[in-house]
Amino acid sequence: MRKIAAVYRNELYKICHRAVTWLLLGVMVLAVLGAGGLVGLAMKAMTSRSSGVYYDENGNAVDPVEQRRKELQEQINGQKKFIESGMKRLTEEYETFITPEETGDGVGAFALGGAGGLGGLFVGGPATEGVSQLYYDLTYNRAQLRTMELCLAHGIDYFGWYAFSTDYDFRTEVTQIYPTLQQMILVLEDKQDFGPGLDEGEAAQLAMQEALAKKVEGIMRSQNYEEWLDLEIAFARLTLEPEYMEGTERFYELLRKGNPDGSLNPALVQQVVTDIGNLEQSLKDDVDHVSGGGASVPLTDDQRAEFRDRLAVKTYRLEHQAYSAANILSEMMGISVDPYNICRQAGMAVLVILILLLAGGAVAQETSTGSIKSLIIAPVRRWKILTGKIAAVSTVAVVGTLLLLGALLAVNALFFRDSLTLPYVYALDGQARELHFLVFRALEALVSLAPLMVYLLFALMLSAVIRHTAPVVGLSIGAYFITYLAGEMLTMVPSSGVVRFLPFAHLSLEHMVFPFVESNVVTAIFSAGGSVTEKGSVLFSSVYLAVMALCFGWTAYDSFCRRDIK
Amino acid sequence: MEQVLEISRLSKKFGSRWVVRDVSFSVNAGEVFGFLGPNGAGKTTVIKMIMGFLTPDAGRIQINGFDNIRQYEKAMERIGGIVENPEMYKEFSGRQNLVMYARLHGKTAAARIDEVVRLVGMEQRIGEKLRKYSLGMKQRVGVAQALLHRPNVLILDEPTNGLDPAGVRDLRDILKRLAHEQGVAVLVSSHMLAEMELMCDRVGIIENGVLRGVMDIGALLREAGGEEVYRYEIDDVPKALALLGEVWGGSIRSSDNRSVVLALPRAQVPAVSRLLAAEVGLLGLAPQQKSLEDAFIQITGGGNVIA
Repeated sequence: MRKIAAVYRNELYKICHRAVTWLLLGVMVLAVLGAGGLVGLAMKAMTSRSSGVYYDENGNAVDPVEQRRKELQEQINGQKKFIESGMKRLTEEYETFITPEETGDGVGAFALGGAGGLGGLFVGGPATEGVSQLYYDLTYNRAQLRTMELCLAHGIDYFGWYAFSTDYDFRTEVTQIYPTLQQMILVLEDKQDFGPGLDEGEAAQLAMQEALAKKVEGIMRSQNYEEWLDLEIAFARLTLEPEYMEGTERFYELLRKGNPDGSLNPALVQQVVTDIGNLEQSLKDDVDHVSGGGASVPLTDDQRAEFRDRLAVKTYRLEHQAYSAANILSEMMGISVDPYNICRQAGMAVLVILILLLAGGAVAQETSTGSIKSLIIAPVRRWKILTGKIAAVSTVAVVGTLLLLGALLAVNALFFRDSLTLPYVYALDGQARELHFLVFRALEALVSLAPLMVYLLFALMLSAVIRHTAPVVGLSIGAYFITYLAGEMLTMVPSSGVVRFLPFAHLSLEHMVFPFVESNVVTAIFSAGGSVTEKGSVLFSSVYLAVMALCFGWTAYDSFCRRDIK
Repeated sequence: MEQVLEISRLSKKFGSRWVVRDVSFSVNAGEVFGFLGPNGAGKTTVIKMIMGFLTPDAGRIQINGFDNIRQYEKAMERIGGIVENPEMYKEFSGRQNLVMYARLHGKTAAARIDEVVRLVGMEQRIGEKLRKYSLGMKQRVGVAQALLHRPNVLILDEPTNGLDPAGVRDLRDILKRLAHEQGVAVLVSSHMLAEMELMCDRVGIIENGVLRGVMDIGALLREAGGEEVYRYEIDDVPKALALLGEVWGGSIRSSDNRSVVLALPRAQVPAVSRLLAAEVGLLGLAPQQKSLEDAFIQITGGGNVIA
């Protein structure tokens, strides 16, 4: 033990003396900072109102909001022109079939924007299918026009111009229901104004719809989120068959829980609520509604447990509004925009390269330069020499991991405080629990040491076997990149079957240990429905990694201890 | 006398070629043992087996009574040495290298490091990085490292490589003193015969992996037949050669245009001198030291061996 400690001290001394150690540790911190900066810029570009830069014809920058307002006004003008010509065409087409005398009151027909013969549609005249299609298309455009005008009046963007904006305004949701409402109103209004008039039921319906429309306009002014939710439910009642109402009410209940004050992006919350609804429905029907594909086979026990866990986590996060800007982007764009994870991967790549360099040089460099002689002539058994070397490089791995953790926490606290401080929510037997974010990040760093040790032993094995620095370092770094890329590709196929016996399928153990990390979930959902919480996968991967480490380590010891040093 | 290094029936092959075959010898405490042989004879291979670089294919090595395979650390505890060239960490200073080596022995007293540095005359430049050292300076630091932990067996593979004449003399003195005053067993390998002659008490001669013989220097010199060598300076060398061949019939070692070198028993010297003085004009007579080289050539059959 004393001898191993002496070798360890010497090796650490040598490692600390090498410029490459400090250089790469520095590069690692810079990589974290750089990745953080890039993700920050990208997120800002995607989420900020003022990200777009517009120029007028003189090349001067203009205010993007003002620019958008102008564009919307132009859109409205265009829409008006389109409707006008549409109405004209509608009249012409209609009149080629029916003479004015036959239509009864032709005068009223011309009252609407100069369009004639409209009333004929409602008295059951023999309009062709083409004509009534034209009428309904025009009604759709007229309803859109009313919505655009409403948006312009209240400074709300039309059709999700800020779809990726984190400056949410729940009122943008108006573009989802208002056109439908107006379309229904327009049809009844036309019938009342130009046609045979409304019957009692229709009149009541129109009154109700107009009241709703008035309410919408009122909410646009008052910006009252509670009222808006009530209104959405009322609208659903108006448009949906009663048998769908149970699900719809559950939807709004969850929506209210997940976004109690309307401050979260509605698109995110709706996505999460939809996911929850699918999971609940799947458990209820005992059929997988989540992965899609329409399979109607019953769930397996594992699937049921997994769904229960996922449901618990989703619900917990929803109820605690445990979301960040990054989550929102991830959910909406279907790619993982987890700044912590992106920074971590950048830093990790540098750390792995450092470890590969040090472990790869551990034996090879000494044999190449001959300095191994001063180790061999010392009264220390070779296995102790190798153990001291492994311990020294492992120390660098641990220190590097801690430094990386520190850099990640600092950079994320600086740029992405909202996503950094989210706790890790996980589930055990369908019960959601949370882990403090610091504990989670520390554990994650600890777990990531396991694959790092595998890389270390791999490079050490090459080092002991090949004994020439350049090919060892080249081979190990090459192998690292190939396994990294292969691992990335593997996320696109389900994790079962033959794939799980490939060595590089297990090198991101931390993803498996923490399956409820939002970015991992997103990756899994978008990778052919691959499951991240598959039972036993952590154990399998751990054993697999341990076996790999043992093989590499044994080969390294065997080669270093038994082979002659010529 | 105590045998501190015992080698018995040591064999090693590289691939299918035996590079060391059945070598046995031992080195006693307090003696300088010369390991002599041409390049490629197997000297370094034997030393590497002693120092633990190579595993013998047969035979055993005992150091201070410990087997160097089974009791490796005990066996290596009191052995110091240089194998081929001293290779250390070039990016560290001589002193840092010594400190790291001392640590592996569990001995880090700074005073001892200063002592060995002084001993090899490196105190001026021990703080410089090794990559700035000449071969000779590295050799000196190598010797310092080998002595650092007060070994009682010292193994030096071609230690005078790269040393200047003063360095060679210093090293010789150090080794002799260590052996004769402190009882250290020293094994020195070399292909430089003259050096061995001055340094060693005994020599073992190895050729083609086989140990041809071990003898002490005095015995080695006698082995050649007890003749001594004299240089006769004369006027007319061709005439002298003809005369000697005709009348004397002894061994003519060499000749040039001013002298002939003869190997002959001391008793014959006056007679030969008188003969030459009378017939060809003797200008001078000088005894030549009988060299190990002669003995070496004689033992190994001469020829291909001397570097």
